[in-house]
Amino acid sequence: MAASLSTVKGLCATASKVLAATQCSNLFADHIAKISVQPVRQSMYNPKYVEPIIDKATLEKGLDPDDLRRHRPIKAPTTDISISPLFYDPEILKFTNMMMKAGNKERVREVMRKLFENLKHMQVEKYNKATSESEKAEIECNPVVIFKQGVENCKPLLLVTRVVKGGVAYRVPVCARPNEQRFRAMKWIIESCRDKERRIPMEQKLAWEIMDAYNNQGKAIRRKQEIHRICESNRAFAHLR
Amino acid sequence: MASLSPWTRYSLCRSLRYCRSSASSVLFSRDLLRNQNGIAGSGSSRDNCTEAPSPSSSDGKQKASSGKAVTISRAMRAYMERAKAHDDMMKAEVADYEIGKRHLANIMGEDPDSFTQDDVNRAIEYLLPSGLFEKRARPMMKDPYEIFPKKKAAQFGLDGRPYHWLYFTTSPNYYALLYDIAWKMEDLKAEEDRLAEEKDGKPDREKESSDFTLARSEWITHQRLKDLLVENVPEKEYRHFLVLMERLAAHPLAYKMEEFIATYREPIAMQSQTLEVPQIEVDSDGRSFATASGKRKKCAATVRVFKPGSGKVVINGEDLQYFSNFVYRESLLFPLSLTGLVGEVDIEAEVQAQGGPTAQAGAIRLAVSRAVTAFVDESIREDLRLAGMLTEDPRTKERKKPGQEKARKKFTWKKR
Repeated sequence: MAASLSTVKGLCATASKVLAATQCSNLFADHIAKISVQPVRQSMYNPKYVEPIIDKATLEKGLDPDDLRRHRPIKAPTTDISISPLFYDPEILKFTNMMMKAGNKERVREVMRKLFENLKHMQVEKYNKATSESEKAEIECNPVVIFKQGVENCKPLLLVTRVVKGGVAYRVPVCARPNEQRFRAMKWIIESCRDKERRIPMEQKLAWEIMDAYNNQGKAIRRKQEIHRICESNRAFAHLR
Repeated sequence: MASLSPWTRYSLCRSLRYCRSSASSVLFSRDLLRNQNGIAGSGSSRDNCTEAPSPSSSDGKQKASSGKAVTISRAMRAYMERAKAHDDMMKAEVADYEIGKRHLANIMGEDPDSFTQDDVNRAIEYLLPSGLFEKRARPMMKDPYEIFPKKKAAQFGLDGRPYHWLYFTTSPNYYALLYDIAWKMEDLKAEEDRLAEEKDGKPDREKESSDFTLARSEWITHQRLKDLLVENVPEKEYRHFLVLMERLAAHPLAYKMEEFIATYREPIAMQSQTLEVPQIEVDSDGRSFATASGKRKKCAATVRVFKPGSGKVVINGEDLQYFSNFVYRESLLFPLSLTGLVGEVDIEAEVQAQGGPTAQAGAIRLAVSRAVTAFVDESIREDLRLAGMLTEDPRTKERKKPGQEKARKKFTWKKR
């Protein structure tokens, strides 16, 4: 009995060591990739330059004296992210850029401003109509929170890719990376609004769509579910990825 | 012979063949000694070789006293010739340099005996002014030992056997370094295992007390590594070295190898200490102000920031509506909102009206940030720097390429 116990212990020890080793190797893999992969296109900045901190909250918290950014030169932020340090949000910026057509960013910014205004109006109206305190407490009145939650709800977990094997094309479900998830979610929301009637202004259509997405309804959510259904039906090919 | 192992047989054959082939290169040890002294003598006191040739003279003497013939390998002979030629050349160059320096001093009307290298540089710049951008392409006069690349001393003895065990890798110093790193890594791993058994989750006090960090320094440059090793290290090998060193430095017990790691790192100054802060001046009305200038693309701006103020902004004689787009107005005020000075300072900006609004706004933003640093304390100045407000944006339009429609866009590809 004692012998068997010790072997079990030994096994556990080796297992933990192996685990540690794999973790270490992963750590290094990141490191090595960073150094050995050369960028194809050149940046105007010397590689020593690091990204700026736009977020005011992070700045107020203060940096560790040994933080790399204390010792490195900092890149200058582009014009459109140096807007207001209080309202800087990378997600909203991404959405704005995705909606932009032919570089007309000013127009899209106007649409976004009105979109948040619309969302706010819709929620405040509901809030005022609500009778009891508990109902009022449930209504989210911050349009940025609604926007973010709406996009979050549209993010697909799985996507299908086309894999050709033996001359036959299979639709293979794969995990969606975070960037791709965000891209799909935003794309679906924008596309579903562009499909709608042309006479209604974009900000109104977007406000409805995002409100729907916030409540897990609407066209974009249906597209997500459609993709999930395709993935489910093709789950037999998942090993081909 | 049949009882010999294959390896012995092989080496025997080799040595036999060498005897035969090297018969012509048999020299008497006296000649050799003279030869060797020639090299040692010409090496001079400014010998910048990493390793002196180590065939010790005592060995040579022993053989000399016994009067036996000594063979010098062909490689060694070739090296001796090369070393002698190089030393002669260097001697001639140094003599030329010394004479040239005296001539130059006379031309400049200064004392030739106390004419230093700095004086030489100044004289050359004065006599032969050059507008060439590349500094190394400009005329120069330097000590030949600074101009000609350093050469390694003989890497093998009189018998032709290399001293270094990694000689046949062709860059022994480089591979020895890699070997060192690998073994240091192994040591750390062993140490980690030992500590894990010993301490069992107790905090490492030694680690807490050591202030090992990579933030305050950076890896030595490619050129520096080459100079250190006196070897040509290709770009790829340099990156390999970096990978290994990064790996070593990322180890939790890396602080134990601090000394070793530090030899391959160069310290960098804290960025906040390198900032230039404009002076606060006072104008005729008694208001204090600071002046700074900024650039973006082809646009330059000069800005005066007055404190105390009421938030008034004047750009080329107009107010903030100089920019029709909200983004530009907001980006101008970004440094103010970061420092909490909105409504407390007045801004007066002069900007060239060439270039688009983005360039103009960017130039003013940079100038405002620089001027504002005069009125704020150290920590807020650092915040401004961390937000990238004090950096000049180097990005400009990318040039159009021949054979392409634009900078990156290609022509439509047609088969025929």
